Amino acid sequence: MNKHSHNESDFEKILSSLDGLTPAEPRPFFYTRLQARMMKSEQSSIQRAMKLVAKPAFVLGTGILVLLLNGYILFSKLEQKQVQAEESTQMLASEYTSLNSHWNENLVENP
Amino acid sequence: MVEQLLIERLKQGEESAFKDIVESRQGMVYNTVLGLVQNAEDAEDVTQEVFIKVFESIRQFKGESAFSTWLYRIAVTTSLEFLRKKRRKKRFAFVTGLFGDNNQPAYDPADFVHPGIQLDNRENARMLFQAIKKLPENQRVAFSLHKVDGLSYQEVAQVMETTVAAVESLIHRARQNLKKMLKDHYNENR
Repeated sequence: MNKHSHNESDFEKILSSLDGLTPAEPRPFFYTRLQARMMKSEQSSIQRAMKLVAKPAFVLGTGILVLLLNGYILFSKLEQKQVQAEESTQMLASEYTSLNSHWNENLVENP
Repeated sequence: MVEQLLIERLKQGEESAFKDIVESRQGMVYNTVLGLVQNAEDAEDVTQEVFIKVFESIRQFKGESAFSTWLYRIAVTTSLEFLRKKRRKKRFAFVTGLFGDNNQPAYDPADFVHPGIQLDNRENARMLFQAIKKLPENQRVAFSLHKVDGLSYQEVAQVMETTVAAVESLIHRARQNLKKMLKDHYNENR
């Protein structure tokens, strides 16, 4: 019983060892170090972006993408021109047939 | 009131306001972080991270809680994230060590003593901090905020976004677990 109470008081003593603790403070010039870290991380993110842009894979990929886009625009324009040409031929043909039939009708009426 | 003005100025991107906030709150944040990570160098790193987060997310602070509560929350979350990352690193180093890699587990001093402990309590505090490290996360946070930062149960509840009764229960369980761990330690070293 005595030993038990002795243990109990020991534990209570350990548990209360944090009582009256003085708050800790960081080392002096904390703000200067924080500022340096923030600037460093800002610079490193710019550097990372620059490194990415300078990578051969990125340059090659961008080049291929530009070429593909060019090809697509060129192809779609050519297709559009082809459709327009077909449409004008059809219009000419239909105009010719309608004129022809009108001429023939006139010939029948006034020989 | 002054702090409110500083927060408004910081929201507008004024660097001098950030400096004033850091200088007035660095002790509070550092003390909280140190109590949780139990290493002075790590505590400095995590404290810097806390203030970077404050700078980046100040616009999200709507003033629904006190600024100090918001700051304590960021400090606790960042410390816990840091501890989880450190544990993962340690586990990874252990696994790679099994396969013959020379990666040594991160040095983790077992004898941390808070610099603010009175001289005659240092040995007891050393044992207590070792035991606190083994507590479950939420018990560790509640106990540390109450004992190391001196927050009331009400304040701890606000930081942990829970009820006062829940905090009482967490601290009670933390004390029981600490007693058990210290008892085992005492019996082993007798």
